Amino acid sequence: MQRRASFEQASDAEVGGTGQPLGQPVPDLGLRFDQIDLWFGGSKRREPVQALSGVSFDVADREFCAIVGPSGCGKSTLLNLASGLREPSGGEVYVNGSPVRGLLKDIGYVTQDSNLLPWLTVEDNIRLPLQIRGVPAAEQDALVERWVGLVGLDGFTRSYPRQLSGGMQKRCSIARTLVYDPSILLMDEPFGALDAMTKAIMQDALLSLWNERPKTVLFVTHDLSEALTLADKIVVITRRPGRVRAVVPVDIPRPRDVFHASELKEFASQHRVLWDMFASEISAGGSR
Amino acid sequence: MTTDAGTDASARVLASATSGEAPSPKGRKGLGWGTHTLRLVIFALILGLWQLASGRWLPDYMISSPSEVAKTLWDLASGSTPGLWKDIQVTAEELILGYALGVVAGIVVGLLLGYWRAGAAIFNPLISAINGIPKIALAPLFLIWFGIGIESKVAVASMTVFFVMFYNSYMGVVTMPQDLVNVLRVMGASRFMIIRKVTLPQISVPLLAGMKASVPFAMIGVIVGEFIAAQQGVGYLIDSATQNFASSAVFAGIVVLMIMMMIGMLLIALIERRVLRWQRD
Repeated sequence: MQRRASFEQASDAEVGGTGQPLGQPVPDLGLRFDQIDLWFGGSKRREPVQALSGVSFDVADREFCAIVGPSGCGKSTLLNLASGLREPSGGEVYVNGSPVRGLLKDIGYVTQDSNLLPWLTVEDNIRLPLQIRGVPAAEQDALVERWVGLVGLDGFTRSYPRQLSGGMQKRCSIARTLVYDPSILLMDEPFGALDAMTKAIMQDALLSLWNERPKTVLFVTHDLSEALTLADKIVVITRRPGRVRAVVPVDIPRPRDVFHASELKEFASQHRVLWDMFASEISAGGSR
Repeated sequence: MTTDAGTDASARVLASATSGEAPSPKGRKGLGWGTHTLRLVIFALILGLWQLASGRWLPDYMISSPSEVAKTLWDLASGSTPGLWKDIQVTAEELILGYALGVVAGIVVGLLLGYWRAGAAIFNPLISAINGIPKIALAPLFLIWFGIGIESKVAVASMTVFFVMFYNSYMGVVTMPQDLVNVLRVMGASRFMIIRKVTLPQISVPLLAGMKASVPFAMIGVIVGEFIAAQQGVGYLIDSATQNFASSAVFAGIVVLMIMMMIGMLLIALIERRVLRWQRD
């Protein structure tokens, strides 16, 4: 029954797009979700809930992929699957060509909340992953200094997270993730809580970091404009249980100007198409 | 009435200690001279009223008087009436041992049940039931079990402290923010690293809160133990003075207890300032 559902979905969406049969590890792929099913809960008192159903799509190496979908559709769960924090109930996730088994070492995960350790200073928060990896002290100092500068937190190295604004916390959290140079970057609505101006500045900073050192990015957002501004490819997920509604390549040329991208013709036309798709998912409503 | 005065006074000592020692950081102004003066004036006013009331509106044997209490305290402290320092030593020993034992046991059991969910499910009702007993009611029993010496007082004090610390450390583990733990797991942190970087700092907040709240509990346990049966200690001093209607000695004992409590609270406050530096403004 699950299979059937995913075939139906596969017929009207461009799943994969690499032309290679799913289920085979592919070395030059950043990420592959292969027929992912996920069920939550299921105890004596509660019916299990299906969060994801037959989700399949690929993210090429160093590709910036955005995932959009209505809230509660399991977008964030996809990131937990990719990081190895959660196991799918069915199907397989591949990272850099090999199936995910447990936590991966080469992954950076920027969560929705900054999740900085409140008892560590900005500097020590950014240093933390380096300490965990046993990077030599001198190298730690150099890297921390470099990233503090890159995210513009000079002068705040000795501050505690509580003393920073939301945007600064976010920058610290991003520096903490990028400092160890993971090959795959997972971002869960990282700029969702920021005001419009800060958000645009952060998007700009992220894009320039990514241009300088491209990595495979999986970027979850509920903001279509953000997805269009940043991504190479947008995966639209349906409401729960989440399925892949469509995989849409973004045709806005790079390098992109974050602050003016929305004025482009391509942007407007793609936004309209995506929005119609998105709106139909929201208004399709009915089930919870 | 006496406990009110005690907490009030210790709060004042803490407040002045904190504002006096650290260079007042921006955003928090030190108390103005006006406030300090007013506090002193009110304190002096209360002492004056007390002195005035003594023997006039209320009989002397009930409330003694500040001057009498001061004299008795002086006699006790200078040794012309012997025994005070030994009493203080005994009470302090009972207090420190009982407190330390209760804190350590509470933390160990709290962490254990915090991580061992099945164990928590089994033992929590039992612990709640025992916690429901007013610990003071167990004091006579502990005297039978542990004798008239310091052991029985240590037992009562540690029992009261244990429950405070148990609940604080247990809740600390149970409410551990899983997101922070996951962030470290994704970074590749070992279990040891997670305990060092997340669990311990996170839990230090409720633990210190518990340690602070426990000091008066430990004192109550010790003093009640000494009231019931003892041969030494400040509680014993107060109790025997009461039986002789020596109210000035009773008040002198209470003042000694207040000072001991202030020192205890001050020590915990110093530890807290050190450990929870990241929380301060």
